This record gives sequence, C-alpha cells and structure tokens, in this order.
Amino acid sequence: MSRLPRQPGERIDRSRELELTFDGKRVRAFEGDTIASALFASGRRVFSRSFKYHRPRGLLCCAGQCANCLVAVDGAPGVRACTEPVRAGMKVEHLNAWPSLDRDVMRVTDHVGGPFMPVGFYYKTFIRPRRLWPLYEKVLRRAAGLGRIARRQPGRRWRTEYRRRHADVLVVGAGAAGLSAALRAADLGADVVLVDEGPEPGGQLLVDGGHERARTLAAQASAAGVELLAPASAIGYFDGLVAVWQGDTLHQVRAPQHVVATGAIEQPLVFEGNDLPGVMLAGGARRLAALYALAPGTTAVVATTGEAGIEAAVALRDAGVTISGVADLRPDPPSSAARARLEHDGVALLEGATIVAAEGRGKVERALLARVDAAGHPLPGSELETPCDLVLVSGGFAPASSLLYQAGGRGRYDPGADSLLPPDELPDGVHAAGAVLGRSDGRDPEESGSLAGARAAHALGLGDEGSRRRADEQRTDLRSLRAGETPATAPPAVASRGAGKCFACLCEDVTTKEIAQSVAEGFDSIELSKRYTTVTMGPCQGRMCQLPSIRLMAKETGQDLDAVGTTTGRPPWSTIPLGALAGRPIEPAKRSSIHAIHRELGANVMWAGDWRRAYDYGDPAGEARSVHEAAGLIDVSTLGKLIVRGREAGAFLDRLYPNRISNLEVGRIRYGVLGSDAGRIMDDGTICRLDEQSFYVTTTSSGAGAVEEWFSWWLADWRMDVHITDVTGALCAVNLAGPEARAIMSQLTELDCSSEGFGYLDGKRARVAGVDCLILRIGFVGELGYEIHYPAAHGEHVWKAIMGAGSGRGIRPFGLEPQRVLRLEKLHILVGQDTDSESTPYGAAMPWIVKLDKESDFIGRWALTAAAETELETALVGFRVAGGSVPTEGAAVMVNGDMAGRVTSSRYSHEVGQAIGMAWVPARLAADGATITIADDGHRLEAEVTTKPFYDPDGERLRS
Amino acid sequence: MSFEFLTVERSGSADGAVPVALSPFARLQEAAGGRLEVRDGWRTAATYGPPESELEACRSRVGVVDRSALGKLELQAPEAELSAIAAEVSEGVELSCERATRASGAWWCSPSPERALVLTPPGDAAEMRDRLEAAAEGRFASVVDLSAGLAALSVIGPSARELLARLTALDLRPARMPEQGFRPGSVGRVPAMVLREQGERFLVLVGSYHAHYIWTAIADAGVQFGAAQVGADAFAELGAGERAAVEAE
Repeated sequence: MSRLPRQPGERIDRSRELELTFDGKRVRAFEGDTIASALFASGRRVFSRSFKYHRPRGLLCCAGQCANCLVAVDGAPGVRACTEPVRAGMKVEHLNAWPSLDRDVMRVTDHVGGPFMPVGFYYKTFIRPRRLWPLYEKVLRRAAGLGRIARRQPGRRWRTEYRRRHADVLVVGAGAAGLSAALRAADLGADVVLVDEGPEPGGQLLVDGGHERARTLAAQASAAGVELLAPASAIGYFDGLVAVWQGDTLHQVRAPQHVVATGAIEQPLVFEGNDLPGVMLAGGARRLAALYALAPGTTAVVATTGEAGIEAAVALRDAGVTISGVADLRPDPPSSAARARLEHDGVALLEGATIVAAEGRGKVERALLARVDAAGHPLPGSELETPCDLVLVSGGFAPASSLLYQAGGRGRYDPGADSLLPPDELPDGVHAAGAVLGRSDGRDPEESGSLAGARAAHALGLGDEGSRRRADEQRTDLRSLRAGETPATAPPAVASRGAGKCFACLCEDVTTKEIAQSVAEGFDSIELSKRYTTVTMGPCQGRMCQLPSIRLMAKETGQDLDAVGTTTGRPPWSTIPLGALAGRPIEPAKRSSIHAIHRELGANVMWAGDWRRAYDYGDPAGEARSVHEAAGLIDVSTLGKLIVRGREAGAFLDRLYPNRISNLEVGRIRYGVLGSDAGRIMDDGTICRLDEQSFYVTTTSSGAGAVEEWFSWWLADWRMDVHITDVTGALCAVNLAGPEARAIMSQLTELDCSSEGFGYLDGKRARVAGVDCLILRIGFVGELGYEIHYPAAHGEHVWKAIMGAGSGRGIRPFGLEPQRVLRLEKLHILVGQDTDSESTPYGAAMPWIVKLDKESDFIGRWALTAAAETELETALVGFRVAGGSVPTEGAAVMVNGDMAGRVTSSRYSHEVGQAIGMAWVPARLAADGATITIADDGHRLEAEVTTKPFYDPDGERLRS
Repeated sequence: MSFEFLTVERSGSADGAVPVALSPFARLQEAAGGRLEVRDGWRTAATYGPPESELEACRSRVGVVDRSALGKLELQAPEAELSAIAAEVSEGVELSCERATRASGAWWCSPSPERALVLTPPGDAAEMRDRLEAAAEGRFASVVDLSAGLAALSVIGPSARELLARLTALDLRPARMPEQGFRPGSVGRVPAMVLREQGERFLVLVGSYHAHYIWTAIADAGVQFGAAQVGADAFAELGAGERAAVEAE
C-alpha cells in the first residue's frame, strides 16, 4: 500500500490491516479505510465505467456525492466505494463493464457510437419496428444499467430494519454547524438526533485540519445525549417525517423541529475531458490526503473559481504533490495567506484563466489552461499546456438544500455569489445552518449552527432569557458577516475548444452538446430538458450537475439563471436499496382462534380479505356433499359482529336498514341489507334481537370494519342513545349445517333443538359443550343449520366437541370453496362479488327487503323510492349451463352480439349436476326459462335463466 | 348487562366443569418450545426453559410474555356518566385519555372520552363486570366483556422501547409516555393499544385475530435485540404479576 507519512487527522489505523477482494484479487487495507481509499492505495485509478459511453471513470468527490465509484459489495450493487468502510473479507466487484473494468468492449459506443447516439436516441432509433422493442429494451438494459441484482439470493442474510424515532430536534449534517446545532439544542434540554453521511462526524473540519475540534464537538454532543446516526443518509422530508437510511435500518424520524446543516457541494467545471480519471474535485483530493494519507497524484494542475482551489493547492503541496499551475478564474482575486504561500513557493498562478481541456489515454496526462472571455471562450495566445497526472477543479459550491426544498421551499439563484441559495423563508419548524445558507454562514459554521440549535429549542419552549439573548447576539454577528461578503466571479457555462466531449452530467453521460440539442428540439425549460436528456436524474441526483445544467440552459436559452430555475428535488436524496422501501415480509393477517386446527386438518389456507381462511380440506366436492347428506362444520369467525345496544337501538337500526328492525321480537333474527345513501347495496348480514335494548348484528367478513365505521359515523351525527361495540375478535363462530345437525346439537346442549323449540330464524343463548353460546338458526348453505357464536378463547374446545359429537354421523369440516358452491345452489348473494357499486336490492332480486312504507326515514330511502318507480334495466338471476362447462366469473352476457351483462359467480354443482351461476342480465331476460348467451374466452355458452334456487327452492330443508 | 356468550369465566358445562380458555398465543407458544399449563383459568406457556434465562432476558435485553388472561372490560357512556361510574366503582378514580390509572386492582384506560377499558387481574373480570353493571344500572351506559377479544403481550426490558420502535410510530419516549401512559394507535400496522405499566414494561393489546401476526412481527423485530419468550412462571417471579402489583399498592 502506498501511503503518505502519517497525517494529523487521518482516519486509518495503520496498526490494523485487513483484506478484501476486488474482482477476485486480494487488496490490503487499513481499518478506517473506505473501499475507494484501499483500492486507490493499491494502485487502482479506474473505478467504474460510465452509463452510456462506458468511459473509464476515476475518483472525483470522495464524499459520496457522485457516481464515479459505484461498485457492488457482496452482490449488492450501487455502493459508493468512497464512503463505504472496508470490512475484512468483503467481496467488491465492478459494475457495468465486460469482460473487465480495464478492458470493456462496450467502450466502442464512445469511439464509434457517439454521433449515432444523440440525446433520446433510443426513443428515436428503436421505436420501429415496434414489435422488436422488447428485444431492444433487453439489449439497452444490458448495455447500460448500474449493476444487477441476483434473482435468487439463497445465502442472503441482510434484512431491512425499520425504526421509528421521535425526537425534539433532528439535525441533518454533522459538520461544524450541525454538531453545534445539536449540541446547543441538547444543552437547552431537547432530545436530539443527529444524522451524517460520513463515517465520522466533523464534515469539512476533518479535511481542513479541524479534526480535533470535530472530535471535541462530537464528544460534547454525545455527552449531552445527542443520538448520532452515522454513516446515514437523510433521504427525504415527508411532511415532517425524515427517512434516514443507515446500513440496514430505515429510521423514520419524527421531530417538530429540524435543522438542516447539510453544507455545500463543490461543483465540477465543464471542459473537454472533464471525466478523465485524474480529474478530481479539489475537496475530494484533499480528503484522500487528509483522511487516508494518499497522494491523489504526483503533479497537479488546479482550476478554481474561488479560494477553495487555492487552499487545496497548498494542502496538497504540503502533502508532497507538485503543483505545476493554478488557473484562477477570478481576474482580480483577493489576497490570502494560501495565495501568498503559493506565490512564495513559485507556483504559477494564472488569473482570469481556467482549464480548457484535460487530455490523455484513459487518464490525465496533460492539461490545457487558458484565459477565457465572459462566454468561456479561450483567448488566443493565452493557452498553456502543462504535463500532469492530476487536475483539481473547484467550480464553486452549491448548497445541499434538497431537504429544504422538499420541506416546502423553492431555491433561488444568487447572481452575486453565482450560487443557488436556499429559500428565503423556511417552513415552520425548519431551520438551516452553516454552508447550506451560503458562504457567510459557512465561514462561521459553529455560530450559525449554534444559533439554529437555539432557535429550534426555543421553538419547543426550551431555554431561558439568557439563551434567547445569546441567540439574538449570534444573529447580529452573522448578519455583519454577510454584510462583509465580496461576490465571486461567475464561471462560464463551459470552457471548450469545441472538440472532445464535455460532460454536464457524469452519471448519465449527458454532454453539453446534448443539452444544447434538447433546447434546439424545443425542450427549453429545465424540467423538460431534464426528462429528455435525463440530466440530474442519475445517482448523484443533481449534486454534481444541477448548477452546470442550469448554467448551460441559461446559455442556450438566453435567460438569466434565476429565470431558468431549478429542477424539483424529490426524495430519495441519496441512493438507497429497494429493500429499504419494501418493508418486512410479514403481512398483517387475521386468523380465527381455531386456525391451528384447520392447519392440522390439512386445510388449504388462502387469503380472504384480511383473513387467512380454510379454502378447503382437499375435497371440496365431498365436503359439500357431506353438508347435503350428513353434516358439515365451517369456521365463520370472520363474520363481522357488532353489539348495538341502548334505548334507541331499534330505531337506530331502522334508520340504517331499509327493512324494519325495531319490531323484531326478542330471540328472533332478520336478514338485513345495508344500503348506502344512494340506495346501493353496501353489505348484508343478520340481526338478532338479544333483549329489548340489544341487538347482535353480523356483517360480511370483508365488510366488518366498514360497517362499524358506517354505524359509528351515523351515530355521531344522529346522537342517539346507542352504543356500538365491535366483538368480531371476541367471538368464535362456527356453522354446523346438514340434516344431522340437529342430532349433533342435541348431544351438546340441553336446549330443545326440535323445530318447534328452536325454529328457523330463532336466536337462542345456551351452553354448548359447557360454553355459553349464542346460537342462530340460519342457513347460508341451504341446509338445517346452527351458527354458534361463543368466546374465542374456547374456540378449539367447542369445535372439537362438535366434531366429536358428529363423528358417528358423518360430519366433515368444510371450507370456503364448498361453502361458495352451496350458497350458489341457493342463489344467496355474496356482496361485492354478485353486487357492485350500482346494485340495488331491486336489481338483486330482493325487493322484499325494502320497506318503503316504513314509518321512519332510513338511509337511501329517496334513492330506493326512485328506483322502485323506475323500470329495471338489469337484474341478478341464476343460470345453468348444459354440458357442464363452467363459465369464467366476469364473462360477458351477450344479447344480439352486444355485451348486456356479466357472470358474477359460477361453479359446477355436483348436487345439481350442472354448471350453475349468477349473472346480471337485461331485466326482460330475468324470467325462468329464458336463454342467455355467455361469451367466455372465445367460446359461447348457452345458459338457461332461473329466478329460483337450484336446490331446495321452497326452503323446506332450511326450515326443517 | 353484559352477555354471557362473550364471557370466558362464566362458561361452564352443566356438571360445573369449566372448559379451559386457550390463550390466543398458546399454539405459537407451544411451537416455540413453551410448556403449556393452566394459569388463572387460561392455558398458556408456563415456561420455555430455565426461568433464570427468561428473567435474565427481561433484565438485560427484552422479554415478551403473554398477558391475554387479563380481564378486559369495555365501558361506554357519555363522558360525565363514564367518569361517574368509574369513580363509583373504583373509589374516585379520575379517567384520563393519555394516562391510565391504577385503582381497585385494575387499570383504568380511556381510549376516548366516552369509552374506558378496564383491565383486571386474571380471574377478576367477573367481579369487576358485576360492579360496573351495578353502577351502570339506570344510566345510559354499556359494559361489554372483551377479555377474549383482545390479545395482550407485555414487552419487558431495557430494549423494550427499541423493539416496539420497530413496529409502532407511537412516541414511547419517557417524556411523552411516562409510566402509566396509555395510547391507542397502531402496532405493526394493526390497531392496538399500548400501556406503559411501569419502568420498561409495555402492555400491547391487539384484536385476538391478530395474535398470530403480532406474535410473529414482535418475534421478527426482536431478533436483533435477543428477545426471549417469557413464560407465566418467570413473569410471576419477576414480581410483575398483576396480583403482586395490586398487593404492593
């Protein structure tokens, strides 16, 4: 490993070596290295291949901002090597190159494909023939892309954790400003979370020789109780919730106060060859030297628009790099200590100059510097070609203000500072500190951060008069700093001879020519150009290309930069794996208290709404037959169950249902169809009167929640003396049905189960197998049946008792599928399957349920009154198909070649010996014996209409 | 009047033998290695192994224990009536929507101003229900036994809050959720109520139909904290059993 002598603030621990592999080759590293620093130390200079042209790319920012060092780690693509700490044994691989990173055959697209691959070429070139698009897409995806995710990851141990963290103050960015903000807020009593992308808090302090100060601030913050999340990225601001991705955990941080101290991002310059390995941001080179003791090159040229480049030149010279020339775009830069150092050391300083080109075969070998005019054109005779292996560029700073934008602000361009600025007015609860506010606050980040921390704490009611007074003083000091600012000179949009490629967007390989072309083609707003060229849409999310693209748009459209505006900053601000958004693979499911028994009985379990239910026990036809011939037992605990009680409970239900409920006798049951205020069917179920003031209401399984809400909503409006309690979870419910049901029940209860003692639609309370139950004599499946409701805690006990009592009488458990066949034989509807949002009781062949002569008003009355006076257009009927073909549910009912209805339910009934079903048909065809045609997947089936149940049409078995 | 078909305790066969209530977690406990036994009329896990290791989990990491045997009574009435009934039954208890009150051997929780949830020690639900019904007599009030309708788990230990933070957006920081704090909300994306009984001990109540799911979700979230299932015996030994707490009052 080639390293500089020990640097004062270096992050590596030279006493602890470890090993990783890159593309199968072993690489040695120190503890504290990043993948990139370890690879750089091993001699690697090319880290990736570009998205479109497969050009070699080297380290640029060394701060996790750009996409130049994306690699795959242990099979996971999209990892930024420059911020990812090394771990022993980690397997690092390159992305997007074949057969190797150093020799990539797709590089041919750069050499020969460039002219043929203009912006939007895939829209233009591959649109015809359209049928080949799937092939084109496959090829394009393979050629571009940023790595592959293995379809199967059998050895994967990685999992996403989700953590909700409430805090009083969330500080994003742990540079000097962020640390100070967190410390101040915590000192004032706030519960503070501090987030930083770097592995160590300190931000720019760590690079500028302020590592001791950074570590002191961090220690103080920790002692004050600040929770530091690092390395972690705040990926977005969602109405006060900030999502923070850290390793394998997505923190959802909710705080009433936010301090954004995300700093500013150094911007690259746009010139020919600005993507060659060896072209680095000045700050990136400094980080390599200061933190990882690496010389980024041997001989360097510096091109800068401000003091940052000058300071970098001094720092790297101190680290042993030869500085062969500095091009400072400022024609008359102010004097500074750093500048004096360079002059003293004899470094060539060119004022009003910049870099025009970097050249070399696969890496920087020389640079061309020149003085330029205001438009960026080199002035003839001023060119200076300098051999070098490193070009340091510093094109100013763009505030990292994406979170501020997402919080509701809109950025603006400051022509004096040639910089984007955060919004003048920030939303309530959002504060900014440090360099994100501009250069002045960046000059005294600790004061700026401390002020923001104090303001956040004060907004929470923390602090005292003294702290408020101090904040006022800090505000005054910072204002005076701002007043003393001197504007910088704006760099040109591009310095170019017009020969080679100048990249405006390195992530997406978008050149300056392509921006110009997009404007020429009419995409002359920055939002449109973004979508057309994909500039700012790559992994850097505009960090490196937002300002250059705005400058280029301004140049091409003739507008000023403020008029061009910015693109919309949307989450995620940082790259995150899809797994971070996918959630834990555990789906909320409801299960009845006897679910385990169904499993033991071999049930095929399926989703039914929110529930996991027994679809069948392996023999749906046999299960249905048992119900007809002996007895069957089904778990119906999923039914919604409500206790409605109170002095006005009957009147309340009268207002909700279209039929009368208040006149129901105690111990009797009535079927009810719940209608919307438009008279449409919402739900159905039964209502049993328990006593004078209490009703037991059942709903469909999927409708339980909605019905409870519907009832509660109207109760709040009507303010009646009624209480509603949802007891769905409290009660298990099973339906014992079949000709043997009475005999089985008689073994389990002392209740008189004779037809005289316990008639159809009676509801009785009695003990069954020693458990107090509510027993309803109803029959959804068309046979003599008892629906038994009892405490869920006794679910298994009663189920087993019934099965035991019925064992000699042919009882079998039956599931959802046989139940559907059985109910279809009786033409009992399933709300939501046989009805839709337009179905009324009249159309659904249930006019008898609507009592328009009811004394009290009820929901939907006006609509049902109107419906009663209007001739039906369609009606729900039963049908049978000769020959046994079962039409698909949803198949069309055709009349004279036109679609005139649809099949809602269909099954083969062994009892009936035919395919049967229900369908909406034109009302004139809703007559026994009418014929309908069903078009089903290219086949036409003739079916006979029936309005009466297929099985036991007079209900004798049901009522027996 | 409550309804006997909702009541676990009053269930019983003609010869007086009371069928044992099965905890909604019992089958999962069994699958997790728990030894099922009857405790307070409910079949639940008595132990999962040496009680010492379960106790150690509660003290140093996080333990999860089934509390479904608690009596759970819902009282509904207009706000003034609700307060009057609660005060009458529990010697002047004052209901608060964000803070549960411990009185007359029960927790008095208010999910809303017109609704109270009374959590009684296992086996005491019937007596409390009778007292509530007597106080509600002649008033516009409703008492419903939801003992079987709500599954309950206590999450105990220094990592309890962090574990729950994996599942709920409720703010459980001590400043916002002090001891006896009570919050209806969502845990693991299903409706739930959380009561901070004492210290780092949180009682989570969900619909019993979500018992399987919440068990799985808590176990999954607990992996990184070394969460352990805790049986009823270790819980009693922890000195945190409901009876012990009442006696301590």
